[in-house]
Amino acid sequence: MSSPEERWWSVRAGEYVLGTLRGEDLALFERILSHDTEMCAEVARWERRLGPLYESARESPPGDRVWRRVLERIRGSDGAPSETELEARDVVIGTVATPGSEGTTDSPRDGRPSRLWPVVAGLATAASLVLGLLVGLLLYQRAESPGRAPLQVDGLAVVLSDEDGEPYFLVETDYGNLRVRVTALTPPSLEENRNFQLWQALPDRSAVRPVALLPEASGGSQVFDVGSLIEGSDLFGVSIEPEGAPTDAGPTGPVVAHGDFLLRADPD
Amino acid sequence: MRRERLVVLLERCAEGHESALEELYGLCAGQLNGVLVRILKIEAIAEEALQESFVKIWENAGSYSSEAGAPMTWMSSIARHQALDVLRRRGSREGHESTGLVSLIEATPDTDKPLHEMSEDAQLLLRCLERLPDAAHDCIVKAYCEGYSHEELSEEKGAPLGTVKSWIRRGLNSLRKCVDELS
Repeated sequence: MSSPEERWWSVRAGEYVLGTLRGEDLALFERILSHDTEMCAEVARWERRLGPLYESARESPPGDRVWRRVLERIRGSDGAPSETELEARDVVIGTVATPGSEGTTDSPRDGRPSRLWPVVAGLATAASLVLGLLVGLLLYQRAESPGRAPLQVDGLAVVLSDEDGEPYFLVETDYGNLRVRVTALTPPSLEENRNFQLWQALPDRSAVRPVALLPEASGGSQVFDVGSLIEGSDLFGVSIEPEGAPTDAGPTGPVVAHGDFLLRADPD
Repeated sequence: MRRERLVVLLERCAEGHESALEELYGLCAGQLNGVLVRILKIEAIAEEALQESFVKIWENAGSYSSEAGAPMTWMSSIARHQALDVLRRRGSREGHESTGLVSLIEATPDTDKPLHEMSEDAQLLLRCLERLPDAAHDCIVKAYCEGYSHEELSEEKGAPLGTVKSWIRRGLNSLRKCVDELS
């Protein structure tokens, strides 16, 4: 388990076992589980890791009626499901995931287009993302703004992570409609009057250029035209910027996430 | 010895032997009900969930394998998911506690069980949990053992929702590394 995507999905499986996935996140994760054997195996690993906690529960002998009712159920003499069973069959409702803590990678301003971040060498390539991203596409196919067709993800996507592999943003492409969507996964908390700014490296990686401001709440997404991006450039980063800060000279705040993203030169 | 016996009983359940389920129930119902009571807080609802859990154990005994962990781990997982389904459907713990139709029980989990009385797997897990920051440790244990949601943890901790989620996610990541390294 080495790539940020694998780690992210492992933690997702852990959250499922923990019981903290709720609502849409839970429903989608269960849908994934129904056909993804590797994810099932990861859930089983988490069940084994956390399972021994049952031993800390104080024993509580149930009443005699419980066993009688179990017998009735398995013998089929009482086919009617109990209240609990009916409840369990209902659609679950709940919450959507939200972000985490602050990253620390600094990128000082030097009055000219900034040099690329030194972490570039360690970045994973987009080609390594297959499983996590396919599932990611399912999980983050959220509704777009009213009046726009839903994003049809048809290109490569990438998770922008911090240096510990904490996944902050998911970038997906819709070449058919020439759009790109960035979805906040677990970005760090922002102080007041601060924004997440997405940057793209120039093809020769000599400097970066601003692309868009990103949503700060987990689950939020920002859609923009493919034309906003430079063809042939594969490195993206996210910095925290003061509201209204000029972007012509590169990041002024810490770069909190980065990732490779292979933009197709020819969408067709 | 007990573990081997439980494996045999599950195998016999898979073959349709009611007597095996009865023995399994006798050996495990108290512990599993304890797991359920700790999450659901109300004895009557916990017993309802226990009933459903044993029906599922009976129906799915054939799918148990050692890869799923110890038999009790597997069965407690079935019980926990049953309890979580009930909690999610009811929306919140407070919602059904306020009905007043059933007796409330002591909500505090038993954390005083001596370490030496626990299995090696449990001791390892507890050692790894102790290495986590207090906030992450507390949130993970409360979520797992008592079915706390992010919102409930946020309220209890007086911390923003995003912070709680981050504690849990980072904690799970560290926990995975620790347990996998030590086991």
